Amino acid sequence: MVRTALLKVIILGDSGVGKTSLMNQYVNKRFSNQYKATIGADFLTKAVDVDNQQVTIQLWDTAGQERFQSLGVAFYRGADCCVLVFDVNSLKSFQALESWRDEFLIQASPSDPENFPFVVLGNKVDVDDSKRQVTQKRAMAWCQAKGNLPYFETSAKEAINVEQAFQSVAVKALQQGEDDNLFNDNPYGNVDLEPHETQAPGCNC
Amino acid sequence: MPPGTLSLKQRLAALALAPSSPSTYDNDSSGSSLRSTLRKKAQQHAPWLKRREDSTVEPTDSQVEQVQQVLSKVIFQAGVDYEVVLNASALPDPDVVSYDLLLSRILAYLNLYVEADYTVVFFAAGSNHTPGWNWVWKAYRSLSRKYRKNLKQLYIVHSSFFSKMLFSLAGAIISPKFFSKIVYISTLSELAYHVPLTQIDIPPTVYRENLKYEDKITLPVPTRSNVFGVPLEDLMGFDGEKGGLPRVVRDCIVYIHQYGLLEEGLFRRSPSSALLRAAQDAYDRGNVVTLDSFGDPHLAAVLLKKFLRDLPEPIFPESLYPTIHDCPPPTKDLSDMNSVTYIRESLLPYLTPCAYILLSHILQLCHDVAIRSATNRMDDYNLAIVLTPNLVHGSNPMRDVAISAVAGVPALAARNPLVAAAEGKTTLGSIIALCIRRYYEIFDEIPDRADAGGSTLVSQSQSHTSFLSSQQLSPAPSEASYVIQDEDEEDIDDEDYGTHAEASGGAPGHRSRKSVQLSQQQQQQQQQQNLQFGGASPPSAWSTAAAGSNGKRHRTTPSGGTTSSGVKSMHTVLGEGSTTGGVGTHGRAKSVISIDKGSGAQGHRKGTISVGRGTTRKSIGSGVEAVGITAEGFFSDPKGAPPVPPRSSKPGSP
Repeated sequence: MVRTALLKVIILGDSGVGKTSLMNQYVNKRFSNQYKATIGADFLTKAVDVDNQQVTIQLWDTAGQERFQSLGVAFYRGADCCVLVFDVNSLKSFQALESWRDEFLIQASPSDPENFPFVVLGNKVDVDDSKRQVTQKRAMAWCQAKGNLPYFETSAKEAINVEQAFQSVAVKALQQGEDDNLFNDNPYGNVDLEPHETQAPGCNC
Repeated sequence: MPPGTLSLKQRLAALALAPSSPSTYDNDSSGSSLRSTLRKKAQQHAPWLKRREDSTVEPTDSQVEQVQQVLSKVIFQAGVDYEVVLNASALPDPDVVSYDLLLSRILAYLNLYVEADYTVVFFAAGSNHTPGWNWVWKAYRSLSRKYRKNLKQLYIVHSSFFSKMLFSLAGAIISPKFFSKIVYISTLSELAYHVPLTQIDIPPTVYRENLKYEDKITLPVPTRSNVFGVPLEDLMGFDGEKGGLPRVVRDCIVYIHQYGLLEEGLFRRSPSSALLRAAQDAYDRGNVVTLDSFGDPHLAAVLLKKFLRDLPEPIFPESLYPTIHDCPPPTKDLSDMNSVTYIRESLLPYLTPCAYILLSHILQLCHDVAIRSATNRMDDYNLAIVLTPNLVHGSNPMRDVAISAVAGVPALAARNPLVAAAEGKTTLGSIIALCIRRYYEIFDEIPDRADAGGSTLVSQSQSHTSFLSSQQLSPAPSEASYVIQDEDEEDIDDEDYGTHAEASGGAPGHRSRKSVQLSQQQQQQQQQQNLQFGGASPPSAWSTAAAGSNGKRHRTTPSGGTTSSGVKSMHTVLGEGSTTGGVGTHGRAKSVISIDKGSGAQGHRKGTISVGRGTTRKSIGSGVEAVGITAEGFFSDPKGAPPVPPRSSKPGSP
């Protein structure tokens, strides 16, 4: 195959765990202290080398808001890898991983759910240890139980492990992408953004 | 023990009035009264206790307080049939709280019931601290015959190994008869067959525990009083005539005002999903719910969002999207009234009256959150981003996302397809952000949180009753001024406005006992002085509603209000003018209130809108015809100022 692989990666996790910040750190090498909720979903692309192969990762940042979960079908479909993010200082966000994972599998309905690649990131490790609520051991045990998922402890703020984590994501996504190419040649294809909606909004009212 | 001549209610009240605030441990003060009780009890029931007491430190005030604090969680009453609930999960750390003291208080509490038949429900599981065997033995020994005699039934729910051991031991050794009264219960559904479950304020830990045994609580007789997913008209009445806000909304707003306004990421972050469901189901079951016991502002905020999201008909139906898109784009310019006027006159009138009431309450809460964004980081933009998607639910989810976008928030990617879809058109997100920012210019009436807040004390015991009793308003497009009435038990003639408006000239005098932050609740207190105000004529675009015409629109509402009767509040609109309100208030030490443009003339903080409002209402009464307030500065950084406590004080407190 000559063409550059385009890999679709979905980032999921509770509100405020740092999904946008991680993406921003990885793609733009920036961290903003601003506190901004994400609208709907947003994506960035980045070209990376995986095993001497040029690939373009399309990172889909989702809003952690519950309301948007119903939009999953549109966003998740055709994903090559799913990144689950939690905040190591919030037990709740860790406990929610289970439902985010289930949600993804239901909505994206990948061809082989058992082996679909997930990568788990425990973010905000820069925060003081005393505030930590999820130990590395506990997180790793969960990842182990869910099929030996790769686990990284990251900090979008201090740029700790972000590069490594997404490199692993790219590798996983590429493997998946190659497996799936038969079925899904064009990751854009399934994202129906319904361009007609951008026209006159009053038409179907 | 209180004298037996008092009614049970009085005795309970006496018990509840005991100090309950946490305090640090100190050893030097004395708790003589309690000590004597303890000693008396020791002599009565347990000789060992006396011996021990002689050798230990006397209980101190702080100990007493700590005990009192946990007591209400460990043991409380449910229902009307002398049902006592014992909750093991609330048992405190033995190192922190004296178990001896706790035991004596539990016995004292039981003493209120033992004279008549009573039932005990014991939630056994979820305990972090298991009392030692020694203590259990003591406890059992202390339960003299009178406690056992009138016990009809003891339900042990979610029995753990510990409690099974405990009770079988007790049964085997001491009293087979007592043993026969014990019923083991494995799920809350099962418990519902024996006792009126909905009357028990079930602790969150118990809900959590119950999830291990069953997915959903089912009642023997389905008494569904659904609140989630029910048409708003059914809950509130088309005009809101059915007693105001739905219970869950009222509870959440009150709770957030009390405890949540400063919480970082309020409305953004998620609560525990298991507890969220438990709380939602409890409301749907018609159960008693105290959000306090869940202790999580995020839970309350997300419940609110969930309520909105579950409405069969969204607040902004799809048919309004073109109207929304046609709104002049909101700007940061405070003198720009275009979009404000458009929203007021061309958008909001299309909402059903009940949707308008609901929305105005929620946005007022958001406004109060947003002015504290220095602490909670939720400014108007963030709030609009997380709130708006819950207000729409059209046929096309992508379109919903697009209309929920908030202009002015930089997206990560230049070509965010979703946000771009709405480009060039005003989105609902931007409108909601503006509504939060300039709430008082857009929404006419000041929704009556006051009642909800003012009745929190009462609502602990009667949370079924609707406190926020009817408020009515008629959002006819041309009528800009709404009248809200609360707690109104009698019809009051329109003419009353005039006379009472005059009377309200004396308002400053009442005000002096108020703290700087006039909470809604306090305002209500003041209203109890029977102040009623004529309307102020709004100064601007909507000045069609002149003061004199208010009476016509005024509707009275006989309602089930439980507190003050005959109190009527007339809420007025704050416009963009810059008049100083609060006539006659300057210089009063405790009621310095001013409504100012920009920086307060007397050095008062900007952004303390509730202050301004409190005054405004009264100053209107003293004949000021048009009171304007500017939103300028409301969103300026209130860093320098201590956060405005929500509805800080109870009526009696300073």
